[in-house]
Amino acid sequence: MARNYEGAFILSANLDEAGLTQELARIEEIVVREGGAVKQWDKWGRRRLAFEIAGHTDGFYAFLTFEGDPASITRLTQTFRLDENIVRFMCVSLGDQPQAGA
Amino acid sequence: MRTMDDGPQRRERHGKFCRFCQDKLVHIDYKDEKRLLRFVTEQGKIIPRRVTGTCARHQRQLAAAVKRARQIALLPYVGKHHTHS
Repeated sequence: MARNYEGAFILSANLDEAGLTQELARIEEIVVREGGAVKQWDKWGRRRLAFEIAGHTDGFYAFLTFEGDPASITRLTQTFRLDENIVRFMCVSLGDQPQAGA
Repeated sequence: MRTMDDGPQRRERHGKFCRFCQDKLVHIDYKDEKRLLRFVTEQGKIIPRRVTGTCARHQRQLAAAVKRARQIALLPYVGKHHTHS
């Protein structure tokens, strides 16, 4: 059964515009490959991190709402953790957030 | 007029109510950094509800939201939060 999720991504601030678009497309591709359905991007843009992560002080924030199988989330997390352009990844189930899933 | 019988002066109670209930918020968003910021100390610690007056349900949601916000570096685990431009 598919559920609604929100993936929070912090992408490396070293990426240029082209690299960024490419990375976002790559993320979508991976989600789709795992049987998910991409819904919507919420791009915040570049901002300062509250603390340093692996040498990064700034990052590009992007949030992706998608529909996916609960079993695929572990695999997605593993894949995104290995991606060097992704500074931080967090996945949140929108099950308890009725109005945000629309 | 105060007389001897008034006893010790009482401080007027004020301002203790759940801000989230007041705003009729069903869900506290971990991305709402500005709102969360008012419920953590300068050191980044979550302020107890005995101080802020937040109701039990919202305090639980708030704690979860703050912890999520920390994971994606929106709020600091420890130390001062620098204001963003």
